Amino acid sequence: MEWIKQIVQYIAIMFIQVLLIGNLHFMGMCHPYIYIICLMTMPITLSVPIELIIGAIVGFIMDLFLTTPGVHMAACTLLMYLRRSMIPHLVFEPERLTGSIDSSSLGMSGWLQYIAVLTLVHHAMVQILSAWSFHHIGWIILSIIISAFISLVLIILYDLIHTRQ
Amino acid sequence: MRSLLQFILRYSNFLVFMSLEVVAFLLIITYSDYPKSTVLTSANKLTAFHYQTWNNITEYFSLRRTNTILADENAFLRGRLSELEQLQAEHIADSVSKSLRNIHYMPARLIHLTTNEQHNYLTLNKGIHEGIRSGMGVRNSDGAVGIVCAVSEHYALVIPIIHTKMQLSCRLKKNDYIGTVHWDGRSCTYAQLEEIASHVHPEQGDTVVTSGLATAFPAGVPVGVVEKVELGDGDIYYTIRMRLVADFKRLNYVQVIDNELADEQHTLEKEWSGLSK
Repeated sequence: MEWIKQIVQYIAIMFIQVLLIGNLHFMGMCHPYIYIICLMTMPITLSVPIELIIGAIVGFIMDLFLTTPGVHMAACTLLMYLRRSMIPHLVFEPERLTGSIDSSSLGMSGWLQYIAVLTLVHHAMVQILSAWSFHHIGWIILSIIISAFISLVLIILYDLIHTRQ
Repeated sequence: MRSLLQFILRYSNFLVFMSLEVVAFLLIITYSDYPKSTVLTSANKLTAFHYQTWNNITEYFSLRRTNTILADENAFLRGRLSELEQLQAEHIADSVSKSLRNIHYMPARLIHLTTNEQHNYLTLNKGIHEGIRSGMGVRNSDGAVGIVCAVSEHYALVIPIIHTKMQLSCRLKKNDYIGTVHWDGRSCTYAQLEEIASHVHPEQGDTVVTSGLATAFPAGVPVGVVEKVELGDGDIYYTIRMRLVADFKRLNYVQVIDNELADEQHTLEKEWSGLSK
């Protein structure tokens, strides 16, 4: 039953992303993507190729809603790939992680490193690919930093609410 | 053979990763220009249905403002109508009334838009079924919004002026000099007017309207107001920043412009460009 609850929660997060977060405006610079919570907190009990495919599918669905074919798919696949190679560096016995990945399973500092790196990489990939040029590179970098910061705050809040339950 | 299999098994994770990335990049490259079909966009059946449902709920929150806008527009149009009727009664110019009749407006409602991407798109709740075709212009009560780029059965996808690949032929209203409006991908309230030569003297507050050269818009639809004019040493063209008249963040109801003579103009231009090659 636990995993059905989890999937429903993931779908709810994707709806929030598409319908609410997509309408945030801050000088055209704010593009937070909180749906990556779904990918980052996913348990690591599945095999790597299947995880990569799940990442690609989630990214592809976001692409359909945001009219950015391929962009989120590329970023999410990269995120899933990096995530698997990061976890062994953050905890001693990755085999013991059977539940979802969060601040209680990775420890607060490990969790913060984990989400900071993955969020930055994902946001940078999305923004550079959707600009598809390095014409306004300074502006794009600023936009990546602001968006990633806002996403991180929202992800930390989500985690606090989630682990408190 | 065995070593090949071993290689594949050993690097299977990396190979799956790379092949997924290749698929994603192929999608990006194919769609990095305008989408030609609605299949992979927000105007396809599945996504448009979700946006439509959500829009049906949120629509109620802006009814008061929409009412005010529509009432103002009604009053303005009624005034224009009586002016035109008077004009027509005074001197019936055949050519004028004929050219006016070639353009029809179809009302449509916006069900989704993005304003802070580089490639923004709008989705409308009408499609082929209601007579919308790609290439038609879209305006709201303030001025030009964009051009329809792909249509499905009941939805249409529009490239707005705020799309980095969009270029709209425009002219300065006061002296009819023609330039191109282009968006730099930053704020959705400003765009750039390019190709205005240095001997023209644009000033702050000048109105920029559509040129009427392309078939999407008739001449004279407002696009923006000049905000800042710069001319560096030795520049041939001005750098002009203009405020867009359409408020993209609050778009709601729009009109799709159906130019009956569009096909004729396209055919003629195509034939001529074919001959000149």
